[in-house]
Amino acid sequence: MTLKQLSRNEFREYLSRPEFRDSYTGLSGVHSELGIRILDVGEDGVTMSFSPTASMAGSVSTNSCDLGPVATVMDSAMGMSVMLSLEEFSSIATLELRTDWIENPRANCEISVRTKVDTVVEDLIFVQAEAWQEGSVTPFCRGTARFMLTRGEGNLSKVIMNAAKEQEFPDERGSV
Amino acid sequence: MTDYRSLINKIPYAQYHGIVCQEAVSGIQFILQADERFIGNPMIRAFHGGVINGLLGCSMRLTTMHAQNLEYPPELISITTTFLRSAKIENDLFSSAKINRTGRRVVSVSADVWQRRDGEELILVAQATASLKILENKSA
Repeated sequence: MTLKQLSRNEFREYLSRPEFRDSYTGLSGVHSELGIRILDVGEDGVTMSFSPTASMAGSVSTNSCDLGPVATVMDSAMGMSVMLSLEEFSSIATLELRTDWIENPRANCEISVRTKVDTVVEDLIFVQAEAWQEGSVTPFCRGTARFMLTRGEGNLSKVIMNAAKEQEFPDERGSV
Repeated sequence: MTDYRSLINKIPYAQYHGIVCQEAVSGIQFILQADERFIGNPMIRAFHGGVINGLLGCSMRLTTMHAQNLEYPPELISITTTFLRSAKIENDLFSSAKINRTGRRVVSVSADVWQRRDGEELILVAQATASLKILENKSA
């Protein structure tokens, strides 16, 4: 079975599994380094989190987390929500990412990012994201991104599919 | 002579990622050395977009701090990054920033990231523009 044959619901169900969530953290160098965790996989978006360390601070004057780790989690979370929104799987590329910083995040406090697919126009997908910390009413950072479908089955989707095969993901057709 | 190490030390994230800076014809150049831990997509073995974003942010904030003689790097208000091509993990990334306009409280900056491929000339990987907020007095 190829990834393109996996239905969106099956894919979402797979991403919701604890074993996939556990393996996602080790999926790439950056994910491992930041310890990115999937908290929720919804209809049109995902929620991920990570725990910033002192070495991820953006300034010695504030010790709050730098742009880099937050943008990394936003990009990963937005990319996954794009894949969840597609009727047919495709590789994707980030064209543009904008982040607006409302305030500095608190130091040593977990950061969560939730995403929402905004609009799909042919091969272009517009996505929104918010980053916030526990105890805060408003997000400290908002992000918007544009993704392009590159119409391949490769890249990250292939990695996810390989992981799914290893865990013998069953489908309705009885194959793996 | 400028002590660029003290500049990098103002941003722990830059220090942690081993970003170094050197003087170039166009100003200060920041270098992020290739490392497997920066991989975002294991299939194409490319730098994660967030890591590139982080390099651009450091480049813009530290260039502004240096040019404005600030004690600490300015804070980010917004940053827009355009990704032009994937950056292969095998080669280092280079970045430099340019101050477009300096106000009393806000500075407009742009920056580029390049990569050298197969011994060829540097090719552009990403571009960004940002607004930065100056918070404090200039250093002595």
